[in-house]
Amino acid sequence: MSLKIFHTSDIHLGMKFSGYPASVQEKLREARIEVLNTITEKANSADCDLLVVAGDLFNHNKVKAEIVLKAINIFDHFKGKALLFLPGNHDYDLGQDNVWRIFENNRTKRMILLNEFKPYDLEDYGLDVTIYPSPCDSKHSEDNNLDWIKKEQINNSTEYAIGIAHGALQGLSPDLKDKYFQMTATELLQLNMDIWLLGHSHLQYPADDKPDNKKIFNSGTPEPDGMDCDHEGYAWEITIKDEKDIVAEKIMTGKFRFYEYEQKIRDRQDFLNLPEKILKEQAENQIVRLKLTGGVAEEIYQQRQEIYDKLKYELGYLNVNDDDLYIKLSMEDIADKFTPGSFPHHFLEKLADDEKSLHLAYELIKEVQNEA
Amino acid sequence: MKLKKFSTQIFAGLTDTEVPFTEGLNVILGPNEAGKSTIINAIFATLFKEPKIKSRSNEDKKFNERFLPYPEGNYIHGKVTLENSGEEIAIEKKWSRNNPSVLLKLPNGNIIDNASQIKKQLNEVLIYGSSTYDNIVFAKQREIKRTVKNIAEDSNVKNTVNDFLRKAVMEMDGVVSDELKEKIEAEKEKLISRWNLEKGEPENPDRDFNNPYKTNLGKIYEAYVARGRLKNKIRIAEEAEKEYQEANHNLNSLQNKLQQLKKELAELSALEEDIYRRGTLQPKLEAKNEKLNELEKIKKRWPDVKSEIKDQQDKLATLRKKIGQLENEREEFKKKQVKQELAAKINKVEDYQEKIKKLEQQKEKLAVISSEKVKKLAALEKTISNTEAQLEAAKLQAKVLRSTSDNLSVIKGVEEEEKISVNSEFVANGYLRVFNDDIDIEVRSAEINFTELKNDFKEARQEKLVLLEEFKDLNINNSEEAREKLNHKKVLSREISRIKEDINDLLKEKALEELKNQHNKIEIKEDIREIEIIEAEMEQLKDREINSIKVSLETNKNIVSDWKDDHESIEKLETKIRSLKEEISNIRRELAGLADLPAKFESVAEFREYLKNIRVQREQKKEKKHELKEKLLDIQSNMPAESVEELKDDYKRKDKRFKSLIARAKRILQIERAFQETLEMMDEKSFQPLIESFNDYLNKLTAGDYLANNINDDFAIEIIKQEDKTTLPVNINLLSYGTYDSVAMALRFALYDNLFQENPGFIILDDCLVNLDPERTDKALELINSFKDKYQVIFSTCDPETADRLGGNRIELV
Repeated sequence: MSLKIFHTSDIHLGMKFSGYPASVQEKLREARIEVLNTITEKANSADCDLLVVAGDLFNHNKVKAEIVLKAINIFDHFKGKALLFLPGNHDYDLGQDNVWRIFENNRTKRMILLNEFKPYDLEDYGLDVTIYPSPCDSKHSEDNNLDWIKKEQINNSTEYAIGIAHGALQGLSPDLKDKYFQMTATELLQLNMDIWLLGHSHLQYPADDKPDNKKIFNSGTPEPDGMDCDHEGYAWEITIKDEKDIVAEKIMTGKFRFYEYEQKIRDRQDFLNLPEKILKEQAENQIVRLKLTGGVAEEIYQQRQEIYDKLKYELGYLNVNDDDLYIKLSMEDIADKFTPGSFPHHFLEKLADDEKSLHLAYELIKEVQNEA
Repeated sequence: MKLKKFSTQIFAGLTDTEVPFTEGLNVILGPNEAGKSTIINAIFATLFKEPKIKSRSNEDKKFNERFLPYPEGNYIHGKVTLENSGEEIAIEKKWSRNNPSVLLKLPNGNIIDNASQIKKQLNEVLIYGSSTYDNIVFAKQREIKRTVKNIAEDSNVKNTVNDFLRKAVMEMDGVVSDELKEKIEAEKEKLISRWNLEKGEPENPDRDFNNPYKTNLGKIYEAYVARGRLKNKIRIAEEAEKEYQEANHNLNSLQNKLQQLKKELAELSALEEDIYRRGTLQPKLEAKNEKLNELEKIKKRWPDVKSEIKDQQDKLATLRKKIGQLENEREEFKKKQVKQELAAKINKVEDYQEKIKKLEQQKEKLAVISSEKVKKLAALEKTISNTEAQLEAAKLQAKVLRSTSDNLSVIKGVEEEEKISVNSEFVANGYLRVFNDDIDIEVRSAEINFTELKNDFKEARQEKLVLLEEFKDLNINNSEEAREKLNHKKVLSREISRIKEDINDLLKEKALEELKNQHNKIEIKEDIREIEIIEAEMEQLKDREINSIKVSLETNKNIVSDWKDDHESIEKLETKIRSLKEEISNIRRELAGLADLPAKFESVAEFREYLKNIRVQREQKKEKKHELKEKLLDIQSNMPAESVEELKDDYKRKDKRFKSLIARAKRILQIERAFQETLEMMDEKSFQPLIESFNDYLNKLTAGDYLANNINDDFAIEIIKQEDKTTLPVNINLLSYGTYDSVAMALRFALYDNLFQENPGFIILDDCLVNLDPERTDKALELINSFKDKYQVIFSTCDPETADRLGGNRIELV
């Protein structure tokens, strides 16, 4: 009997996005609920037996009941045999009163919370599978929670042994301070699981779209949540065949996509190229931070707002930082604008070595002129 | 550089117009609204105005309203031909919203349309930028006048020409330095109010983001506070997350502990009854075992102690015998001592007796001397000396004066006869007899009885000699020596009797022989040890060995006596042991049927204590669990809504904002410094060439009425009235309106001169003579005429008479 798994993680329900304007916050929060629908639908259309959330379904342990209930309702539409939920480092669980108790009190039978260091036999759910979970029991930890599996006798009475863990996979996501339950591929492979389903890094692993016969998978976030997460959001659809060969396919799930650009503007064309460079298909789902630098002619500089407005109109969100964009003034420009010998002429001449200060001084002079 | 031609297809009211200009003076004549100003504006626009008309720009809106045809028509046009060093270039512009264009025809006939290239080419010809042309070349007379008036009315301006011109130059671009300064300061204030940029902290370090100012907040301070508050929030969130994690773990381990306790309690409770029975039996068993042990020991020791007693008694008898021997030895030692003492005493007595013998012999030699004899000798010596003294007192002196015979003898006193010669003088005591054969003369002193005395003397002397003869063996010559010997005889007698007493003391009324017998009778054994050794040995035996054996013996006797009291006999003791063993075996049997005390406990009491303890612990932990649960919920509900990661993300943005503002503030400070330096530089700058040309023009324009004169060290110039040689109150405000025009014109010409002397160009004079009186008009015309020799002048007027008077190339508009 082959086994089909839909593998996701790091959905971070309850994230606030407070650095964004209220309307954008709302959209981004809503998207995290919406992606659950996408996940469930894609899992159903692929006829998956198992849906695995490998940690960080919730952004923290006090997510509102309303969101938990919404999530349960959506997941309940999954047509497969069981749904597995592993507490991650953001929603770690030690059995206390937290978001998982709301979850447990409202979940349906098929939803299994993997919050204990013990094998979970899925025979009751019609699956010839034993799960070996490595849930998080704190937000940070230098050690991973694989120890109990290392000591455990693997159950040979079921066909499949599946490891599910949450933590930094060495080489995939940087864990510079070594505080995210770090684990290595070698360590995992030594544990004789048929497959490892991981969560934590928001990037997918392996990098191929259709990896063949890999044993370790990290799903990445299905819905990007910030500038350090610049992909489109995806999950894995994995099939373990009878001979235990594994085939997997990357499934696109995300709605919003985050972009961070830094662009040096030298001339009008650079400005005019911005929309082409930034705007993608479904620009309304693009969250963009744009930093502009460089010195340009005044006339071009004055047109910048027009470009920003155009981009803002199209994009889901645009934040422009043009603190380092300035009017580039040559001595000729100064002479053209101010009579030689006059005060502003001398004054600007003194600042000619520092383009940004020159720009600022020029703007101040213009303000004085305009006020006059 | 000269203006050669202006043409337009359409520009405001002008259509298909062409205006050619000549060198020197050009006069545009036409009534008001005929288009004089339009031509001038169109030339300026063609040279400097961008062809693209922007709908958003206010400046372009005005341009549009003034010059684009209304209501129809969407472009205007201008073309200016310039001549520069004999070569022509032409610039042509079409202003439009949609199809603006600019073309420049170069002297070689090529046409370029690249805006920036065109600008560059044009700049080379025009030398100065649009603002210079706007301010000076194309300036309106009324604008210059306004400048002059503004400066004149500025009370801060010193009434010196230098100051005036400096101000005029400075504000040439409509930028009033004070306003700019205010602007910079305002910008600076807006940024750094409440912030110490140098130290990178609030102006009062105590007012940090935890205690922020409420008013006059600069942007940096605001950003600093926002960032700081967020940092606090992050810290709180981190602490809360940590606290939450700790509480979670504490609760978890508490629950695990409770589970363990529950399990352990169940296990131990099941054993409780058995263990307690064990608790009562165990001490009994231990007591009986102890008793048994004790009896077994007694049983084993009893015979031993008995034999010990016997040994001790034997040992004691041996020791006592040894003591008797030592006492005998001590007696022998004492006898030996007595014999030695006797021998010594005998020796001593014999020595004394020998000594007495020697003393007696010495005394014997002195037997002739006695106290009576010494006294007698002394009395004789006294008699002799008395008689001698009396004779001497009756001294006689004589001299033989003449004698017939030399044989003359004399007897003096008691002395014997002696021979004397004539003339010899002599002395005699009491008696003198001189005689020879012829004569015999006896002389006696009448004061004494010489004969009696002489007898006494001779008798005494004889007796003394007899006595001394008795003492002759003792070598005695006088009574003193005799007394000395007598004394020695007495000393010997005393010494002899003292020794005799000593002997008596030694003998104690016994005879020496008796002692000697006694001594000989005492018999002494050989090899007798010293008494100290004998006594030490005795002491050791008595004190140590005998006493300790006595004590042990006593103890052993007591022990046996006690045992007899307790157990009567060894046989009876054995019976007791047998029954005790049976009791112990019974208890053991019962204990074997009871559950074992778990290995970790050493005693039932420990078990009991432990069980009690874990029951208490469990209750306490249950309570603690409730507390922790509440605490956990409390922490959870107080945690910030955002996770630390989200907040840190936000912090990065706020930090960037703060740093960007700091960078801006530093620029503003740099700008402020540049501003100050510029101000100082312009204060130092000499406006002398400008002053001279201004003075020259002013003098001409005011028909010699006014002179900028009296240049002092500071280049201060007083404007004085020429005719009455009085100095005007140094306030330009008092100048007449006409004089303003003159001053303005002089200023403009002076400024123009200043810029264009090297590369002469053109100047536009737009109806500048309106307010001048006839005399000044004449002077102005004269001046303009002289100006045309150096520069191309485009003069516009609506007055034909002025045009006539000026002459030059006339361009008439109708």
